[in-house]
Amino acid sequence: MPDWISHILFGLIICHLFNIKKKSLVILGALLPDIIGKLKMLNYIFPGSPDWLIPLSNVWHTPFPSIISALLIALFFFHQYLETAILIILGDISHFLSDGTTKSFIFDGYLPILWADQYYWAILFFAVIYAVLILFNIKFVRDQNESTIKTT
Amino acid sequence: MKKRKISKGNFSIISRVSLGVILLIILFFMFTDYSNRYNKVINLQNILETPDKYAGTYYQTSGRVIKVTHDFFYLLDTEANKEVPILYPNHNINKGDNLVVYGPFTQEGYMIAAKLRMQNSEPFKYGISLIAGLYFIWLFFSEWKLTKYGFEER
Repeated sequence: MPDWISHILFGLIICHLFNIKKKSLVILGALLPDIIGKLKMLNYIFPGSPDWLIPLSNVWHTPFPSIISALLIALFFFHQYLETAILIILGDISHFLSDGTTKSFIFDGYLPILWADQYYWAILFFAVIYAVLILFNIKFVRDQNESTIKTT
Repeated sequence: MKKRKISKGNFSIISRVSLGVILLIILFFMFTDYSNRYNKVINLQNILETPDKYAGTYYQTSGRVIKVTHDFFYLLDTEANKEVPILYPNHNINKGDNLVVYGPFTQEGYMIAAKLRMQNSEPFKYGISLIAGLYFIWLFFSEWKLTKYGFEER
């Protein structure tokens, strides 16, 4: 898996492209499979954790249960339910897309671009895209302001 | 007195609770089904407990090297927290290295490393992920506030 900074940057890129105001919901979705999915790491810190911890974490780090959990979590928001759920699911999808770039000896079938410890390339890649989007946005707003001034 | 609106988003509290229960039931069934399969299929615990049954099975494990001997090193699997003996005679492995190893298990219960890769920057990755987590918490609570009815927009 890429690190969380990459997941967040990918989520922010999606927010920027689709002009999403509630960025935190997309980011929540982008981190959700890992937040619960990494519960199994507790076993590393506290040896002898319950046996169900690994299956539970594995289930959560798969697309369909992750989407169900997104629908469940959206219920805790007093906001338009469908909008909330869609934004969290959008983040979820971004998570699995970026996870799909990670290499594995077993699963060579995705887009195996990076090993887990080459995460800095993912950060760099997403950071550059995000920076370009922001710069274009700044330029677009400036051009619009200039054209408004000229017409008035 | 201004009455509190409890059906924001065209959803009453009762509908929310009902949908929540249904989703929880679906998740519960998904978990129990997977859990039953997980206990029957190939997992590290089963392999180490009954090695003769899983002889020749290829597996990928990752974790930290806790002991190095002449032909073997012992990897503490991060997920299962199990010690995996791995045969790797041409080794340049040191205690404390983080590795991902792929290979077949023998009937004696050890793995033969067919493919191996160092992942020593893994702890650093978790470190920066923690910073990202803090950023997320800040972003989340700058957009939402927690009330007794759930998260509401700021």
